[in-house]
Amino acid sequence: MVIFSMVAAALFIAPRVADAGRARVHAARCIGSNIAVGSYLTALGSASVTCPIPSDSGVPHAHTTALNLYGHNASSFTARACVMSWSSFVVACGPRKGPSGTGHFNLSLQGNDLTQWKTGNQGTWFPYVAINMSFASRLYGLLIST
Amino acid sequence: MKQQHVLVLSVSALSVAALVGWLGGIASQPATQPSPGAPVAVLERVVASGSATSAPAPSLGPVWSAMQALGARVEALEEAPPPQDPLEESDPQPQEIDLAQALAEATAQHEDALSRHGATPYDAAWAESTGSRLQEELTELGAERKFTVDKVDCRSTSCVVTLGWSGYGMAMADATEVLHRTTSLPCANRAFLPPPDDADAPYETRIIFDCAE
Repeated sequence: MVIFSMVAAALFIAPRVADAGRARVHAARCIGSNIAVGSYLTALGSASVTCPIPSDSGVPHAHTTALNLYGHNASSFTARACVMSWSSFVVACGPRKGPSGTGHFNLSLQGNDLTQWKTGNQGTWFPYVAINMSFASRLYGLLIST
Repeated sequence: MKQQHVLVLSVSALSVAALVGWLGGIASQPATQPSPGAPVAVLERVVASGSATSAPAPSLGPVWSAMQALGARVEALEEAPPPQDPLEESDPQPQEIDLAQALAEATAQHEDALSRHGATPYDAAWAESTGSRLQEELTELGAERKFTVDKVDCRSTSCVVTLGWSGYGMAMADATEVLHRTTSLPCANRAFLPPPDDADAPYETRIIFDCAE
């Protein structure tokens, strides 16, 4: 009976682990001024970029555990998780965060960085990421994990 | 799906608990004189009541009963419609959008945030340092985007800045830029832009920078 219990628990717990969702956004989906988009997005000078975040029943933004941004040249690269109400009366952004080091980077927004996607009814609003970039920094894409 | 997991785990837990309980009962009772609550007696009652479709092994009596009861509950749950995600329940349906209500709620939230800022203790050192950096950066951004910095009010963990535009359209276009591009204060920020009666009239709004979040 003990073995049966363990097997049953394993069988039914396993799908719960697999329920974690992933969504990827190529940098070409982002918009902004002073940028060039090809295989990746490059800042041609000081640039302000906005990237849409997919949010659906499979990967709802209110359940996001981490948002990873992949790019190159961390200098002056910062990102914020923002949300806009469907009435567009309100826009709210989380704290600004930047990567460190040189070369390729993986900037991870999580915890308090994503509060604005989860506060109150803001889980039903429209999520996006606001990015500030400096000359020659690159953005490859985003990975959303729930 | 989640209910099924809970139920299966419950069945498993109950099975183990029943087995352990029964073994404990055997250990504490003489083997030849079962008490009225012993497994064999329970099994006899179940069989006599006709609730068992076939006679299980005596040692599985209590477990058999528990499994039957829980099996019936699983079937009932499988036939019931799946519960709605609480998030989906609060999601506005296109035909249900009420702009007046949305505006009222947003106004209340904004006033609440302003009240919290007003109730925050004043820290002169933080307020003056942060306020002057914010004033300088926003004035520079305002010169580019054509808005004025009418007031900067910082306390100890938050600031409220009052910005002015020549019209509502300009404010709608620029307020997000203020939120995105302000780097002197790396905190959460929020703009509320209620529609005015006259969209062409000068427009003023307050943006909250909250470093306590």
